[in-house]
Amino acid sequence: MNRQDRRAISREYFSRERLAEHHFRSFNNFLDRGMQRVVEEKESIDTDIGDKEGQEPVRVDLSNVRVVTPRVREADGSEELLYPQEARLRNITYSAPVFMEMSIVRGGEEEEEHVVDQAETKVGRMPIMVGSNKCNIADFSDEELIEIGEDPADPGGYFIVNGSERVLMTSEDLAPNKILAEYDTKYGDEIQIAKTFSQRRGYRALVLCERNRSGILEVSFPSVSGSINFVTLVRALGLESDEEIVHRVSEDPEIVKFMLENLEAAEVGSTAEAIETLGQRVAAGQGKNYQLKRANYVIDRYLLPHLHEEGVEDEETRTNKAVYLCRMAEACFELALERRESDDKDHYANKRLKVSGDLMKDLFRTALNKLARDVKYQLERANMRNRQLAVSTVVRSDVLTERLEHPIATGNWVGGRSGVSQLVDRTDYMGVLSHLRRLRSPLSRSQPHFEARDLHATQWGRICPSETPEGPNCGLVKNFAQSMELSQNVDDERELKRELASMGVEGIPGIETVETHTADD
Amino acid sequence: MSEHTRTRTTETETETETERDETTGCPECGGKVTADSEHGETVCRDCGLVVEEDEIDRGPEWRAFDSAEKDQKSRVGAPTTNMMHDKGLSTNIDWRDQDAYGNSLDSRQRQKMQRLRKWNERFRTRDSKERNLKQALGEIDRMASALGLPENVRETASVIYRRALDENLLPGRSIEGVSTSSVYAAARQAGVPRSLDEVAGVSRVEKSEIARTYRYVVRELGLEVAPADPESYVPRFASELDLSEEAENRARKLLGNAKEQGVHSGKSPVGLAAAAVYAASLLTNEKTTQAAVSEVADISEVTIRNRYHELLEAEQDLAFA
Repeated sequence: MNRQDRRAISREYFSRERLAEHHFRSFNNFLDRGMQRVVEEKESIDTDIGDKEGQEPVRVDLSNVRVVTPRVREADGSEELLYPQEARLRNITYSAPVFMEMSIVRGGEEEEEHVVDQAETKVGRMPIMVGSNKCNIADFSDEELIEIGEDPADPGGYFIVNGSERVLMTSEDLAPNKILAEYDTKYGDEIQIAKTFSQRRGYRALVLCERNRSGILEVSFPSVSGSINFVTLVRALGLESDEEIVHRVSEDPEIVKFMLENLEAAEVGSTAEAIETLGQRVAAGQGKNYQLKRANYVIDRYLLPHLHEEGVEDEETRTNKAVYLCRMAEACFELALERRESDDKDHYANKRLKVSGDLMKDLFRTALNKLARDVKYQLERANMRNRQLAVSTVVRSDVLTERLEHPIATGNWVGGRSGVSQLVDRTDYMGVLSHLRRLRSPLSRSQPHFEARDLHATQWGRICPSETPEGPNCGLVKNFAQSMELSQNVDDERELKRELASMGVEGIPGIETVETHTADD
Repeated sequence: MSEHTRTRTTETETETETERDETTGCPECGGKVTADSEHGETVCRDCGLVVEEDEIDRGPEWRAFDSAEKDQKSRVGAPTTNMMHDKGLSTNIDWRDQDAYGNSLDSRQRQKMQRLRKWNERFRTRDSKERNLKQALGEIDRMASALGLPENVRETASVIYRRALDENLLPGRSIEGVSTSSVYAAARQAGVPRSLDEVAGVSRVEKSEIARTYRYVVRELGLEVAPADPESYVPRFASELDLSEEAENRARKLLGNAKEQGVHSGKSPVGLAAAAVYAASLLTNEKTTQAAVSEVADISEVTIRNRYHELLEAEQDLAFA
């Protein structure tokens, strides 16, 4: 293909797609669905009011959340539409009011549950990305843009906080909810480890299954120090008999041999015993009841949280967790027998990108939690002084606004990361475009990380092979290729699961398999 | 030694003398005198006389070329503010779980730091007055956010409340009542008034109690609160009714005329503002109904009608006079 043809294709491509399209797609998805989903996860705010005698429990139910377009509130109280150039010049934040429907519900014990007050109030302001759906200049023509003071060639995709333009850096991470196998050395010997980053609703847990030098499998997960014997854990999750466990791991005779070794060295025989042992590990020195309660809590909350979902009982998910752990064990054994290669951590199939919408979602979740705590406090105080409970007096809009603007302004994100938001590099037009299409790796800059910095074959067509900075960031800071398109996560996994079940896949929790006719009927 | 002190006192005397000159003007020509901080001089604008020179620059001895450098070199923290019960003077343990070398703390030390942070927060309030102040300032902050008041109004309201607390005006009154009155008074003083109904809407106390407490506080503290200017309510009503700039300016002109004629005295400023907005909307053909204006301003339609007639008469009288 000669240069003219390539240029024509490129021009045609960019006449439709915007250069920072991945930012827009991610943020628009966050505004349309992400925010509502976070509010639905939260559901309601509980208070401690009902705990005392003679008091009815009070809670606040949260429903629809909506965002309008950015406006500015002047000192005299009037509100007007805000355009980006005015925000840049006046050093204010280009943000839009967020409204949420809240209803205060009292009752449940003696009297009926009745709604004390229900209203849609302004709960704060959300910074809006310039050029996104809710931006005021989103569908302006070139002449209108010039009139309003904007550059028609400006790509957008950044936020304006306190007058400065800030980009949220896309960062790459290992894919969550995937089993990755690798070799490691412990006490000089080489052992095999199967890792999985289990992520659910912003909580990310690393679950390890390792096969140590004596061939025994051990599992480690958050909130439990050290590792737990694999067989014990699997028994605690409901897989009791030896045949079941071996069957779930693999049918292969060599792996079966390894498993039998493990089973011989098992410490427990039944589910009850296993939970007891686990209880002794997590809550040492406490009463038996508390130990059992804590063991059950730890299993449900901290072990493989991604397998939980709405509407499915905890009992069913436990069997799923057991099956998942068996798959991890299989991965360990296959690695030991050299049937499986250790997973390449630089392969882009094992990587996922966190774009601005995902980052804002995490931020919104923590901000909403802080707002909930504040509302709880205000409600309890108002109730103590026997005042009328009203939605308008209980919500402080500053809490949410502060929690959303501050991380974007400073770059310090929830979860302790810094440098997430950066000042847009306005050296020249190319600088802006390059900055918006940048990709950061979270690896430390001071370590060599030879493999991570290398050019990988899977970067073909996705990441530019030549554009990377010199110096300590070399190979860790990358830029997108010209015609790169970022795929988005499936929104509703249940749709997908229902479809699979209708095709005959068995064992999906909460969904019944539809009987299908096989080919030879 | 005594000579030293003598010279010192004479110096201060001459200083006060020059101060008196500055307020009256340049000593030679009587023109306006300005400060030039770049050269450290005080100069007369008309004749060019250097009134004072070698002024001490009180700024930092370093320069910074971007905000990161500025944060690193600066030795001061945030300015003191009356909006916090401890005036912003207390310190907190940093949220980062790192030691001075930048290494992460182990989990036990992290828990210890968390406990220390909690107790640090709890020890910030000592006696009952500070607790009272903490609650009241929180209320002021909440109400000011709900009304969209800028920071200077919040500072003023906090100062008014502190004065009320110091003069022991609180016993027998609710904390929320006095804090709401402070907000109302501060908004009036700053020229961005909020009507009593708006303030009652975000407050936890009734309108009558707010009015009563407000009158008491103003009387006891000797606050000088001018009667509210109806023109300051116009922008808010106009923006809530979606009227154009032209209508807003027309309303302001109507009120200006009424003031010249003296029609405004004794009438509620909110009522006049509402009527002016209604009249302006009719005059610029962006018609709104009396009902809509009544809802936005929380004023009865009768009042709007009466003031509307009065305003138009005032304008006509002005035209004839």
